[in-house]
Amino acid sequence: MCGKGGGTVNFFIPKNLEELADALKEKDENTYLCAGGTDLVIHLRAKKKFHYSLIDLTHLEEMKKIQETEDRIMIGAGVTMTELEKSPVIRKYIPALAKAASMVGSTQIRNRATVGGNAANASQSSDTTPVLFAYGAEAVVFNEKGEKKICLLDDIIEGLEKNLLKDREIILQFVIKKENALSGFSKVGSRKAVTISKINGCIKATVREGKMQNVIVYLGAVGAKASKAPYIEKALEGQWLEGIHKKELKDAVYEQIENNIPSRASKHYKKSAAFGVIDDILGELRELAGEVEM
Amino acid sequence: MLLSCTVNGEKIEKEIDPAKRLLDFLRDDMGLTGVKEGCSEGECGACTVILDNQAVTSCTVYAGQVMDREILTIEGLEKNGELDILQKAFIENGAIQCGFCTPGMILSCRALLMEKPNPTREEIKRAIEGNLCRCTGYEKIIKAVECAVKGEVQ
Amino acid sequence: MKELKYVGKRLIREDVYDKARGKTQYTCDRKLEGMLYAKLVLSEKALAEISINTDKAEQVPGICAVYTHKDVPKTKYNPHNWTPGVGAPEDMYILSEKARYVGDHLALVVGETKEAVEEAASLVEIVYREETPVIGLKAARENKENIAFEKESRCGDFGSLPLENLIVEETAGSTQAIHHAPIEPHIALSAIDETGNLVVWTPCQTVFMVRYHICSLLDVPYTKVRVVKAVMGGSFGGKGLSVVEPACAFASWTLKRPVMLYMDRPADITATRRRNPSEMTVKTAVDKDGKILGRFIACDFDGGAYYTNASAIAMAFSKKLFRLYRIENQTIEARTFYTNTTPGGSCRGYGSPQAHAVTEVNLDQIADRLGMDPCELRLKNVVLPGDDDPAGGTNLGDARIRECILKGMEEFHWKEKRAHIREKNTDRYAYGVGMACATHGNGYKGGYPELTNVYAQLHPDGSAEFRIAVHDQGCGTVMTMQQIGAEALHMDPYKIKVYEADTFLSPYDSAGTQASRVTYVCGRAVQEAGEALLEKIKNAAAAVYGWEKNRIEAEDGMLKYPGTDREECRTYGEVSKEYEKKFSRYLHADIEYEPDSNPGVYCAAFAEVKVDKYTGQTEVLDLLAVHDVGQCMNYTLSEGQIEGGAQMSLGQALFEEIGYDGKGNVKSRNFSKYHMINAPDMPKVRSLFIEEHNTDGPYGAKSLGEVVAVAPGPAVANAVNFAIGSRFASYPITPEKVVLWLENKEKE
Repeated sequence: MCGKGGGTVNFFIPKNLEELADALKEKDENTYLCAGGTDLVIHLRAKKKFHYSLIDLTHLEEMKKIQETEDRIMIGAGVTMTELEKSPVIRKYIPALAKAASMVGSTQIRNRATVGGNAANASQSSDTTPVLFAYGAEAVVFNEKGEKKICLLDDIIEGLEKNLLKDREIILQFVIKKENALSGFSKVGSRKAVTISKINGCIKATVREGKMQNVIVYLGAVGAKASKAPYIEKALEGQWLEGIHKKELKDAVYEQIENNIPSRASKHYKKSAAFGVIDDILGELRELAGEVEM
Repeated sequence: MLLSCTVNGEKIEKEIDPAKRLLDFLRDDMGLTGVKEGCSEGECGACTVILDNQAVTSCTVYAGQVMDREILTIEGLEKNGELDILQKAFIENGAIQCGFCTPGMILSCRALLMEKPNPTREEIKRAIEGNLCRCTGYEKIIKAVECAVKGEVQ
Repeated sequence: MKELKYVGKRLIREDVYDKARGKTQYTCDRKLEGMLYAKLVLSEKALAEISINTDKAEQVPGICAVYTHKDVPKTKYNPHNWTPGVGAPEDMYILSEKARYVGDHLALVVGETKEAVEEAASLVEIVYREETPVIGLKAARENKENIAFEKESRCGDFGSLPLENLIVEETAGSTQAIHHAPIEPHIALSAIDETGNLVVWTPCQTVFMVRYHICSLLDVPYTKVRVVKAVMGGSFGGKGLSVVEPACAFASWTLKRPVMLYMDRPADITATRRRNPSEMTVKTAVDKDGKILGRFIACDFDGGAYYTNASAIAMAFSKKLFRLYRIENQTIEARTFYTNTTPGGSCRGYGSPQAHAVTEVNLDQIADRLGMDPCELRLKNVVLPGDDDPAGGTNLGDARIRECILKGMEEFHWKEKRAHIREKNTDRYAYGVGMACATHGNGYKGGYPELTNVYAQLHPDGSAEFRIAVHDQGCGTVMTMQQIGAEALHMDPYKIKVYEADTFLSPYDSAGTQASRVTYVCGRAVQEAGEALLEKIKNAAAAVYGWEKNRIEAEDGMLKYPGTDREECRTYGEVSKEYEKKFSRYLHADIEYEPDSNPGVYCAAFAEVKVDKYTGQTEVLDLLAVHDVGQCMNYTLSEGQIEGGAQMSLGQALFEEIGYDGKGNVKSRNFSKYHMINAPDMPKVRSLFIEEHNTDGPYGAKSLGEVVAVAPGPAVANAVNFAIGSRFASYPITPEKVVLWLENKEKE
């Protein structure tokens, strides 16, 4: 379906992949993909753009599903934050993603903002990206020829609001391997809620008999995009979830931030705040571990 | 483009510019001026409407995106001249001062009650976290929702 | 005192029925036949000579005009002067000839649709020849020419105190630029009426001020301009000065068409007015018992790019500092500087939020040094009922700050919490309680022309109307006036209509809805008009029915008279009808009112906070505000003021700030960057009232709407300082500042 707007613009409402491919074929530099619209509408107004074409992605059922196979979870790029937060599958297998989604914007924004948009916009303070990276999420990328390819999400996000998708490419869905791991997410912004992350983070770990193993830590808003935090991973690997040595962990967190943003004035604050974020997440992991044992 | 959707229970078909915001479509094309614009970037919640049973900021949605969808604005809450229980509760509890945030605020709360008829205080706060109000300090709004939930409305 | 029937009751205001249904027409909701839209084009540079090319903008289909400085009258005004008598320097044009701040009004685009206007506004080409701007007070102080106003206020002689023998505590602090943040952005609608008058509908605080500005700028007589106060989606002082009205009126007058001039949020933040930032040092000398012997305060205000309220902010600030504690020797040196940032203007509390922000922290530091409880220290020094203002201001009246503190201590369990709160501390979280006091005024008596007029009528259908130039900003002013009128007239408040301000309909009022004068001054005027009208109704009944006047009782819209066999009753409406028929008279009262006094209002606020030592975030867990109000008008409305005022004051303490970079660019141009407190961060606010009914206000009432926005902030600052041992007196107390302070402490 397609309609003419005021002036010369096109407005595509593809309802299946075939229609999406057709719409992508006509996509030029003045055409924008619009999922929830929570960033795009504001962005185009701020840039004083008045005449442009749009491809609406909210009527594409293919992109709105969360599916589960024996060893994988597939999350449609058009799944909203609210849907992620509430999905039993996500809460069970990727608890940090449910948590991250629950902390994006406001209720109204979470009802519209999509996981695909959040990743593809490549903001350095994106809340879902650290989690997707921590789980090694892959993206299924679709193009105007109807072709699909799979790539590591990390490889197509450049950061600072840039992605490496080609002009007529779009992320259809994310694929994440099921793991027997716990995970948590936390963030610090200016307020408790409805706030852009000054720092956020995700920890994923397998907890065996109270000890953390295979610890993966990603931090956001301390670099162009979310990045791995090896110092923190090292400090946590093999540690008891219940008896973490705070001083050592704090040193590791501080070292990590120093390493990430050595020349930024905000590093002093972010070191301490990151320690708060890590402390929060460990609290979450303890709760989850408790639930698992029960 | 010819937009067809449901607005306040009524099926409509209208020739519109799909690239205008849902906010502008509702206010200018439909005359539903209860939808208010306070920040134009989804931060203040004054333009909140209910889209397919969920609260959304209509300033961040394109009109064309509501094709075949259902929209509820403040004007659609009243049924046969009878105010919605939330509207009554807001009135009775002093939850309305200047009133500019009120339509969005009530709709955020309505969306909450559609999903959770018995929300906790924390859930109410979360439902209106995206609705800014400079007048009330939110307390009487929360109280109004609690009264509506408990049926303590005249 | 006599029991009140309508005043002090939780009556529901009438405007909320339509507001709850989305039916209320705010200015933005109106559409007039042939109406054009208009938008200001704002400067993107803080200081620059400009040349503007409007060719491209004019070519956008639907554009009717693009105005710049060369098109507007070459008359300057000061949007702060609410009557010609205020007389502050005039330095602003409708559209500026030079860019003096980021947001300065440089052009006006007028067109048939908003879409056209938006597009054209983006196509106005401005060439800036930039000069070095003055951003912030530090830069402003480098050049004496930047001083817009300075004044020393004093009582006694601070200089003669033997400071070396006293305990002297000095505190340096600052307050930030605050956006008023009404959810309705600035807007005005203007049109030419059927007889050629210029009509302006605006959500403003003073219609007579807007009329004055428009008439002087457009050179039109007062009698030809009708300014109507529109339904207002909040102001908080932001709509207190003229902002968009002159440009809107100019366009409409020039094009002879209706024009709606609207603003968006970034314009509202950058290009209207703001709370003046301040930097000050406070030096207080006490004896070992905690008696304050003297205080010296030096305060600098950032006045922004135009004069506006440069003198008023400095004087309003200074005045309050003589009216809370008994200080025999006090000197206040206040200065206001020009900078290349948004001009200052009225903002809820006018000077009080700055005045108390640092002085109240200073007092806690003294208490700390003396090992004395902060409440005890204040109790030793607060003013008492009947005290004079040592600086020559009006008498403080029935000042009940002592009672506010005592009642608050009891309700808050102050002593117990202060002694034990820190026992809740963990490695990560620190807890604290703190309190602060505040005072504010009740109008302009003693400073500026202070009078109002009321015209009241009683109609044959039994309804009454009061014409008085009040402007309901959303607080429920109209309801309050209805309650006062009802009490005076002994009739149903819902049968009373209070018309809001309209220069064609309202009798003159000298100062508008500002300065906390409405309940105290206008309310008392309504009471007196109501009483006078009731007298006339009784006189009329005496004349019509041959009753003895002093035996007539009034109740619920009826006159009752003990007749020979049974009580006779007549409704006010019947009396009105008969009176007109028999005597050719209509029932009305017309009064001019000037108050005799301008007492202080007082508040003590108590806060409990939890400080996250890792993230630096402060959560306010509990807030209690005790207000000396004389007499509460309507508890629901009063609590609404206190809860809303707390939201603003806590915002000042912890979150809000219009930030500028070195070039004067505004960093927080929208609500995603300018952080108002939302529901999850707002504590439950408990309100208590001290009601001694002993003032010249209506039924013993005093003001409330501004003082509510003063004490919670410093109470939180004191609580944070108590929790972590810091000495914050610079607002907002951001997480970054908390973390930095903790880290420095650790290093020591």
